[in-house]
Order: sequence, then structure tokens, then C-alpha cells
Amino acid sequence: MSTVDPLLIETIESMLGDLCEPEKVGAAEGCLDADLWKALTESGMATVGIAESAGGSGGTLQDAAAIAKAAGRHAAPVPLTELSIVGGWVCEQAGLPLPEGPVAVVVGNGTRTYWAPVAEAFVVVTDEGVAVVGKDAVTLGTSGRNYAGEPWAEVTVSSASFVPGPSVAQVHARGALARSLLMAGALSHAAELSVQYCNEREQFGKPIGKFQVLQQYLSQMAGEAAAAEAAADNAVDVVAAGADEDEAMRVIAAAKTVTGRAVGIINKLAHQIHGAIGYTDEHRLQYTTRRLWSWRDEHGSEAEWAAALGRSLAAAGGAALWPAITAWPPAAVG
Amino acid sequence: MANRLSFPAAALPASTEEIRTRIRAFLEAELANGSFIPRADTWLSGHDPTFSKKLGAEGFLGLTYPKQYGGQERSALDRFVVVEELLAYGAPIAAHWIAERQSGPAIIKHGNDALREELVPGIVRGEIYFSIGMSEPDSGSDLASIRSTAKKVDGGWVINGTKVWTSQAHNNQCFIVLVRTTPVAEANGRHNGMSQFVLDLRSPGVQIRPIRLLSGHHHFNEVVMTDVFVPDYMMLGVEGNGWAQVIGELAYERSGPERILSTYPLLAALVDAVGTNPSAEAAAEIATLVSRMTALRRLCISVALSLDAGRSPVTEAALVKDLGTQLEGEIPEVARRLVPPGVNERFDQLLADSILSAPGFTLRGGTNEILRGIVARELGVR
Repeated sequence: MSTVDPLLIETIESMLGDLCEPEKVGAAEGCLDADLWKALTESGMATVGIAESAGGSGGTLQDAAAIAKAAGRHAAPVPLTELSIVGGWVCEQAGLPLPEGPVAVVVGNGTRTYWAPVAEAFVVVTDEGVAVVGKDAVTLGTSGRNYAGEPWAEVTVSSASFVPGPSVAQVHARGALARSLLMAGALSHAAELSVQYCNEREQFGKPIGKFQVLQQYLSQMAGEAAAAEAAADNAVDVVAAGADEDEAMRVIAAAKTVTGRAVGIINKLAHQIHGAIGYTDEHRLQYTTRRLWSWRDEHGSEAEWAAALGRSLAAAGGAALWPAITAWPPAAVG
Repeated sequence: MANRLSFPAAALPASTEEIRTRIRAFLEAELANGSFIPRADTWLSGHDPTFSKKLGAEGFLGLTYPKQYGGQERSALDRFVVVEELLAYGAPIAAHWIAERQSGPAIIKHGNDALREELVPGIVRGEIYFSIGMSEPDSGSDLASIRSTAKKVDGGWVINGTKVWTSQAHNNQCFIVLVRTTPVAEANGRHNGMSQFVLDLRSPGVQIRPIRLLSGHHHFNEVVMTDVFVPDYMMLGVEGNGWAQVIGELAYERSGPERILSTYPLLAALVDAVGTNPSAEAAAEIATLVSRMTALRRLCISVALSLDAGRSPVTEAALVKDLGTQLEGEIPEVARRLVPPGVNERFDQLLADSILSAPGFTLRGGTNEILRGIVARELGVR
């Protein structure tokens, strides 16, 4: 396990704090925020976790994860993790050059591809292998937006020269890892906004945070957010420690399951606490909760991942369960 | 940021692997020779002095204690590993549990030399067992309202009062009792004026009455103390400092693996009971429990590392206990939906243990509602 330099977290928090004001997040719906994308790529933040030799900024997967969580916390309206966690990793594994510009990752030819309508480059993963292509090499089919206005389109690749690389299943899992990290950050933000609102909003002559029922809600939310982050961090540490493909799928399944489940609990309580104002267009809470409702379904819902993990656990049997549980997080080296 | 809770990155040191291998080998051998049958909730109900003495003889108790008193001065993470293995195997560990977890450390921290020498080596050998003497009939969540008293007499103190929910008092030799040594009216605030004593449960004037649980089990007791004399050296720590001493123990008491693993043996049996090719729904329900368990275990490890580093993560421990005890209770709820009764005797036994002991999970060591109040205060409301 490697720990993340607090300075890195401070830097990304400050950058996103300045560039992700609610009005900007709202204005970017249906597209992306070009200024933010420029800031993240020029500073190298978008490629932390990808080796310098592969065209990235260097650093660990834990560093990239910290940046992804911050992006989730700030509802950053850019395809950051499509590059930093998913596409960049595919290129690094396959020895392909890191593409320029906003990237979308096509996981299976003809499938729904997040951010495709605004992407300049596509990392394509099929049963034939992986490739990086430009806009001119793909055809966009049916398109739409997720609940948060992040665009997607079905992408068909007409021509590409494929090289061996990570499989469709592996990249689907990597996408689930990215969504887990984004959710971990956004969940903690929804919990924090709720604490803030409980202290600001007064009814019956006192801040609503004085009511025990709401204190119980806030504590539950903090707990679910902490558990979600722990699940995502377990996945990062296990994957970074060099887990094999099966183990990586299992730990990512656990992360997507815990984070996805937490969305149902935290979004519901956050909106209950915020009252009517919280589900209006003018309140910032919605930028976080709409993303959470979207991300829990992208790259496999918790139902899909939990079923896969459960089948794997059942096949191994009860005696194998405890050694599997104690393998996460991996022991510290040294 | 409003949220002031902190769970630093967590990983057990690689040095803990050695003792994990050793305790697993010991437990496998004990299972094989039939010395115990795995049960749920064994840290409160599995009272087996023979097993505790074996653990003592093998060097698995008092790992963190000073060598002077029989300990090994090992890291708290080594103890974490031993404890989680014992719980996962469903081994009978109730006899030494409280003594080894909190009474021994309290005596080492606050006791005088005579008290340490008299009691700590016996705890390490798995021979001296303690109960907890905190709650009273009218003092549950509001512990500071206790009414038991100790009055100074020549050479010692005379204790009067009643303690309840005293697990295993009928089987154990001692408890650490929290009493008032200064009346509330004369103390400077209600949290002052309390003191702790080590009390021999076989002392004249101590009456122990069983309080049977809904399961029919007897581990709770009411302990009535009538003019019980305790010598001066049995006072633990400083007169009037009892509250602070009790609070200091809470982070240890609330964040251990026993707050997520009480029903683990049922979860393992459930995996076997659904077979190797379960439906997608059954697989998903089991995986959801396992996924949450691994996340909470990471939080437990994080708290254990903070404690080991000398911090006092009282709020984080409260949060982990809230989540963990809920999970412990959900395991039997899922298990009963997925496996009908009568298919597997061992599964049915573990399910019965778990269902009937579940009400206690979210009560003991501070109710979840009280814990959430502690967390909310730290989050910045109240």
C-alpha cells in the first residue's frame, strides 16, 4: 500500500474548488467544461497514475484514485477517469501512445460509450484487441445523457489496427473501479452538504441539526460514506498490489456493490434533510445526487457485480471465504 | 470540511502474517481434534476455561502486555489478527475475553504494582477472568447516573449498590466496578467523583443472581453488593478519576473485530448451504454482505492502527461499531431467506444462535443511537 502525499490532495482540491462552481457544472451539461479539462491536462493531473514512460505524469494508482475521488466530490464535468483510470491504463498495458484530448473508452464495439459525443479520441477495446482511434474512425449511433447530463453514444468502430491488450471484461471492471471512486467522493460530499444544511436551516426557532432524528441521519450518512470509500480504497490497494485478473474483478465487484448500495441510502437521506429546496434546479445538491444515481448504474449496477462476486465466493466454498476476506486490504510491505 | 472523521489508509503490517499462520494452524488442529464446535457470538456466550488456558499456554493472550507481567510487548495489530481469527472460527473465547481485552490493560495502565502482579500474569495464562461492572438497573445509556457507592473505612473501602447485565459474573473471578466515591451534590459536575475498584466476585456481601436471556441462556447476571469490603490497593487509578478511565477504554471496546464478526460463522455456513451454483439473487445477497464486511474490516484496521499510533479515535470507533453491529444482525436475516430450516443441522444451530442473540448486537457497549449522537457531535451539529 502506498500513501498519498497530502500536498497532491490539497492541490487538486484547490484546483477543483476554483473551477467547479455550481454554475459551471450546470452550464457544462450535455458537453464538458473545456477550461477544466485544459487545467487538468496541462497540470498533468489527468494522467497521474500512468507511467511517465507511457506518456503519463507518473505516480501510483492510489494517487490517481485520490484525484478521482476529488473529481467526484466536486462533480467535475469532464471525462477525467476515462483517461486517468480506464483509457490511460489500457494504453499503458498495450504499449499504445496516450491519446490527446478528451477520451472515451469503447468497451465492446457498438456499445454505449460514456462521453463519446464530446471525445476527440477513442480507446477501443474489443475481442480482437485494443486500439486508439480518432473521431473520424468511429460512427456514433443512438445517443443520450445520463441523469446528470453527462453525454453518451453508441459507438461503432469502422477501422482500427488492433493490438493485444486488456480484455473487454477487464476494462468493464476498470470502468466500475473508476465509477466507485467517483461515487466515494460524491457520497462524502452529499453527506457534508447535509451537515452544512442542518446547521444553516432553522425551523421551530433552532437549527434543524438540533433534532435527534436528523443527527441520526447525518451519522448514518457519514458511516455509509466511510464504508463506500473503504471499499473503493480496498479495490485500489488490491489492484495496485498486482492482483491477478480474477482477484481484481472480485475486489472491484465488492467496491461497486458497496458504493452503489450507499447511493440509495445517502441520496435519499440527503434529499430528505434538504427538503423541497434540495430538489430544485437552484440548489447545488442535485449536481452530486444526479451523478450518483447515474454512476451506480454505469459499468454494471451493484446487482450485476454482487451476483458475479457471489457466484465466485459460492464456487470456492465456505472454508475459502475467510482467507478471501483477510486478503483485503493487502498487508503492508516491510 | 464539515466532516472531521478520519480513517487513514489502512493495511496490516506484513509482520502480522506470522502470527496469523500460527493461530490458524492452532485453530485447525483444535477443530480437528473436536475441542470446540464453531458457534456464533462466542465472545460473550462461549465460556470455556480449558480453551482459554490452552490459548494462554500457546502464547496467544496478553500479546501487547509488558514482558514483566507475562506479556510479549507485541503490536496491537498482532492482537487484532489473533482476535479476528478466533472470532471467524467461532471458537469459545468468552472466559478470558473481557479480562484480556480491557481489564488487563486497565490494570496495567492504572493499577498499582501489587494489583498488577496479583492479576495480570493470571490473565495472560488464561486463568483469571473478569466481568464488567458498569451498568445499573437505572443507569444504562446514561452511565454517569450510577448510584453504587464506596465509602472510605480503615484500610479500604465499603461498597454498596447493584450492577446489571454483568456477563459471566457467575463464572468469572472478578469485575472492575464503577462507583461513586463523592456524592453528585459534592462533586464538581456529574462526571466527577466516580472511581473504579477491582472486586473479587466471591467476596462476602456479593450476591450474584442470574438474568436469563430470551434464548434461555444464562450469561447475564445481577450483582448485588452489600457492605462489601475492598482493601485500599484494589482501587484502580486515582480516586475521582473513574469516568475518564472508563471513557479511555471505549475506543478499544468499540472498534474491535468483534463488532463486525459475531455472526461470521453463520455467513461461512451460508456460503456452503447455498451450494456451488446459487441463483443470481442468492449470490448477490451473500456478496453484498461480504463486500460490506471487507469494507468495515478496513475501517476497523484503520482504527486499530490509529490506536497503536497513540491517537484516540473514539468517534471513528463509534461509527464502525454502528455499521458493524448492523451488519452482524443482517447476516441471519439474509441467511434465513436463502436456506430453509431442516436442511443442515449445523447451519440451523448457527442461525438460531445468531437470531436469538442479535438484539444484543446493537445494544452492548453503547446503543447505536447513542453512538450516532457521538458521531453527529463530531460532524459539527448539536
